[in-house]
Amino acid sequence: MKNLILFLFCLFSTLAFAVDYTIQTIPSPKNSSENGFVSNPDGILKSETVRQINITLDSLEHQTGAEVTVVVVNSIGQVEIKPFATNLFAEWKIGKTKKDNGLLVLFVLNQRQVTFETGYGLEGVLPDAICKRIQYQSMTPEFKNGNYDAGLMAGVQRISSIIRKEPVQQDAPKSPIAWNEIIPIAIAAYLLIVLFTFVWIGNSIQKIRKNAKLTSNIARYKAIKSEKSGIIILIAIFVPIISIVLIAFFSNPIFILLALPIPLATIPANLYARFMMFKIRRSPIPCNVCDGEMHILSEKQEDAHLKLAQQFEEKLHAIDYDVFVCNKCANEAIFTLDKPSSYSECPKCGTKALILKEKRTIVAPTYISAGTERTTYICKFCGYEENDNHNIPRINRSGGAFLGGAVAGGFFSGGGGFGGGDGGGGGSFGGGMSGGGGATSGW
Amino acid sequence: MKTNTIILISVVAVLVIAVFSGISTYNKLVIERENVNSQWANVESQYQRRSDLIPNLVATVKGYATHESSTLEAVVAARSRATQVTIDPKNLTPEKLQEYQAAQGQVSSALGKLLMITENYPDLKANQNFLELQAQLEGTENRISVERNRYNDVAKSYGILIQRFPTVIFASMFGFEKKPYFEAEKAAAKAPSVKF
Repeated sequence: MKNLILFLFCLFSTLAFAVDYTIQTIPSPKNSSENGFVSNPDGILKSETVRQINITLDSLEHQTGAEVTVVVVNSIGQVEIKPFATNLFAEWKIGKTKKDNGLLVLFVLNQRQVTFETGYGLEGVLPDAICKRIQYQSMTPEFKNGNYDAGLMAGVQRISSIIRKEPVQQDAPKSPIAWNEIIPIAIAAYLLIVLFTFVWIGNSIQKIRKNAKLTSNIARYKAIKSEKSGIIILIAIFVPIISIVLIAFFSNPIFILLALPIPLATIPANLYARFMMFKIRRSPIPCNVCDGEMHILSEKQEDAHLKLAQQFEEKLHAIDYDVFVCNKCANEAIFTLDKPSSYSECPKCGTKALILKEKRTIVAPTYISAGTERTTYICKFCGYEENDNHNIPRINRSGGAFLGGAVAGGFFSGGGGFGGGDGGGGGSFGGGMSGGGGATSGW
Repeated sequence: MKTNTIILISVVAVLVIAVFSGISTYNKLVIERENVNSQWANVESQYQRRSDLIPNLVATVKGYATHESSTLEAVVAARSRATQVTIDPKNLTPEKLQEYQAAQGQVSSALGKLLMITENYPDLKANQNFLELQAQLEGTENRISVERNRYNDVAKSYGILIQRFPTVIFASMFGFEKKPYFEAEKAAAKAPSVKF
């Protein structure tokens, strides 16, 4: 194993010092130091030149965002310089993403050639003709005399001065969401939901009205009530869920906000259904004795027709009584509507007025034994009292804490982990693209 | 819950899932096809860039190489023929691509001949305008080859995508077709070597 590692190490080190670089073996300037822009593995440039170029290009990047990179190598083998530069550019992704404002200056000594590879975003600032001009005016004359430092320095200076002259492109403001287009669509969708709910509820009300099985007003009232709440729950819960799923699936998550008011769209239909419920409950019914019509009495009038217990129940809002009186024969009919309340029927007087009075712990539960609890019910009408003893389960030692811990854990876990930084020191290029632009010169 | 209701709900659920996966596959296919189309537009715009450079180049050469009118005319003729062959990316067929490639190949070979004869005119070669035009032409040829390679890459990945299962079902249902690739240049239509 040790030998193998040693062998691999030797292989890599020979590769690193190999004369012919490939895209993969050429060292990236981002791996050597934080703000490196020069890759000079063969030491062709003096370290002073490298330092100066780095300073120039670092300030250029700070001012304009353009990433100019200089690669100076002895040899890349028999590969043509231009495709090599294009591929190296693509490999390193020089320049910022989307802006593609990178430039690669590749100098290959044994081919006696220098090439510029411009990213898509710099093609306008540095057209091929300008690249060529920089090369044959400032760089190749120096290279001919062996002054590689002076030639590259001059080239970098001219490049950065040209890029600097160009107005710095501001980040385009993120294309704002076209609310003025979306809001009308959303409103139309709300209106559609309003209409749809209306039609649906109206339809069910019609069906209930015609339903021969529902004989009394109260039965119809109850049927409409349950139908209405079913429809509204269906629309107010399922439509937003479906639309949230759809939005999350297909487009911008911000539109989920638009799905939140959908439940409000059911309010008009809800009000309509309530109105219809009220109306149907109070609508006149045929008399079962004569051919007259029975009409509902108002809350005040009906008290005369009700027993004391019934009046009491109405006062407690436990039961609603509807009293109908015929307009011809004085026949009367009383309908009852159980209301959802905390009252229950008293076993003694039969009035729905029995309510929980108190809950008292007689024997407190411990970790070892169960406890006892007494509940007392009282009838508000006749004063009857009923007591009930219950067992309280033994206290579970870890239950509460465990549950709390689990909930807290559920909420707070997932916060760990590192930020996903790239180790090895140094950053990387921004992710730019080039398309083979630039120019090449030999000397 | 009644058995009927359960069956109904599961049938609806399966249908909803099928519709959803169909929609998302369709959208993916549309995006991929649009990628190929836009990459095709990149290829065409690079050829167009070369085409735009030619009048300038011909005018510059004409001033120096007065005896080479036939070569110059060949370039102009090849260019005008090539500009007539354009392809709408929507009906990008192998035949049309071949036709396009042949027309552009003729421009390339005519340009190659033109640049060859310029070797005989030292004054022209020293002209700064010519030098920079040549650099632009060279850069354009590089760009053409890069964009063509990228087009081939996206066309290939799109071709693989629409032939894979189950995407192939939706692809054939909605008429997504394979896009042709650029073939390697024949020797005759080789891009002009503008080394000097």
